[in-house]
Amino acid sequence: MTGETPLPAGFEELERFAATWALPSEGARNRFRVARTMAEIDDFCSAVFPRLDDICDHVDRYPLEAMPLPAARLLQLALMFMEASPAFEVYRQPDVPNAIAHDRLRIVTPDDPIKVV
Amino acid sequence: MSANPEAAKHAEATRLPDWEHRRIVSERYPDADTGPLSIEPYVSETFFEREREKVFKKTWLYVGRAERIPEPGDYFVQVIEAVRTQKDGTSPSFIICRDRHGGIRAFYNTCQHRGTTVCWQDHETWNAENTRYFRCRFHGWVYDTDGSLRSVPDENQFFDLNKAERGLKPVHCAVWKDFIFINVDPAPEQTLLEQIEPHAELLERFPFERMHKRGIWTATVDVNWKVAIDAFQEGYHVSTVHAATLPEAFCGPLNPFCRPTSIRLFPGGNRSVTFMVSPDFEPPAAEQWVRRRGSSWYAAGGAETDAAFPGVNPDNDPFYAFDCHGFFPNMLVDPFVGGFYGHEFWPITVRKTRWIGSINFLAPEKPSDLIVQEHGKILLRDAFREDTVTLDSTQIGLESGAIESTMLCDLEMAPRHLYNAVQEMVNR
Repeated sequence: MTGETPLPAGFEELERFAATWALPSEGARNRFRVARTMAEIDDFCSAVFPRLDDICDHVDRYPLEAMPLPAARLLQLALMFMEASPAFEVYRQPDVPNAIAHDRLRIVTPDDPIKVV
Repeated sequence: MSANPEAAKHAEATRLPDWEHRRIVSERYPDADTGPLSIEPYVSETFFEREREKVFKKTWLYVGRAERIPEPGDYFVQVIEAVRTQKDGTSPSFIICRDRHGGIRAFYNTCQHRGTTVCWQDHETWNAENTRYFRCRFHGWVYDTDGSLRSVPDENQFFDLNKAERGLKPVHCAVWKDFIFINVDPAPEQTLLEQIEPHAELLERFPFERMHKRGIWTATVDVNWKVAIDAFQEGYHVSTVHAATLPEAFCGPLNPFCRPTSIRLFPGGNRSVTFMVSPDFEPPAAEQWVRRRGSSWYAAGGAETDAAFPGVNPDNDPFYAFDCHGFFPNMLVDPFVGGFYGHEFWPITVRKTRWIGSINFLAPEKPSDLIVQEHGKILLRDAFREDTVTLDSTQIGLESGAIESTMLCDLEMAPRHLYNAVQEMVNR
């Protein structure tokens, strides 16, 4: 997905994240998260968290099997928030401290079950 | 819920075991041993060979969920190092498939022409493929999804070839609640249901079939498979290992050492452990948002056990969080209110294990369900990164010559029970 399709109307303030933070799988989101600085994570999470309820209201207008691209990207931003939220509000560092090396745990989760129409 | 949460919390707290004065597991199982355990089963190549012969080649082994192969012709490949025929030999590969009539079958992934592997697939993923026939890429022998040999190129050049006798070699395969198991023993001593009692009965109505997999992770760790399992079936490590991910959820004032509220031991090596959440835990803001809308990876906020998830919290313990059911020999299934997570531990050598962790939630009914489920999934995955960090170093210590036996406390009885069940099987 590219950044050329804007997010749905009403979410303009998140547009600056959409091109890079809206990613289609857990693996991609995790790799992106651990490569960010804490300042970037704070900036992203602080922007998305207050809009989570609005995001849910918007994405729930569509079935997962037939989501317009703007709604799908918005959904991916919310999933990215959940990927980053433990770093944001618990660990206060991008990756888990005192954990097995990042590249030793292989994330083999399939892509998100979202079909874009 | 009570109108007075503090009073309700106090009433529940009075039901907690008196850990200060009692050792609840050995009281419940007075015949259970309590002494130090020799490290031999973790480090001995000889013992490992006996485990392979007497445990892994004789029992039902979980290989995947039926959800992975929903349509006729869907299949995946599983490599099981522990059932290899020779000590340092190659590892056999199996095809797990749904045949054209919808039945689930398992075969050795071995062409009956000259032995070549039929299906080539990365087995360390959640992938599945679909096919009408299995076609060996060496000389093009073609098998049906029921394993029968359908066609042989240039067939009239063969001598006395009876295709009916040259189908893929089947392996015993059984399915319980969408969990697919295989057993390489030509004549299994037990049925699958016998092997997984009493878990099968307890969880008979748990809605496994309505779950879908939301996360799956794997790592190859340099440790004995039993050491790896034990890292996930006790709570004693939680206050230290999970200091970053779960600093308060399981280690509050009522239970600072994450003591399981009950531990149950069964014949044949199966066991169940129930954990509580600290009622004093105040989740951080994003987790609170999640809990207003759905489940995290454990229950929080009381002893309620949602009627929609029958079988959880078997002893009706206070402050229920989740259960850990040990399925002998190498699987853990951890149900909670909203889903279940689990582990597979595949022995490769005495000191190398492939671990697979995964989490499953009710299939999403709407897009925002995915958002809610993502939180518990990520927190659990990050906690598994902490669990797995201890493993390699434990094997180094066990092989160092500096320790002859391990010391397990009353609340580490699940690891002891697995240890004893393995001993019993290899010594038969």
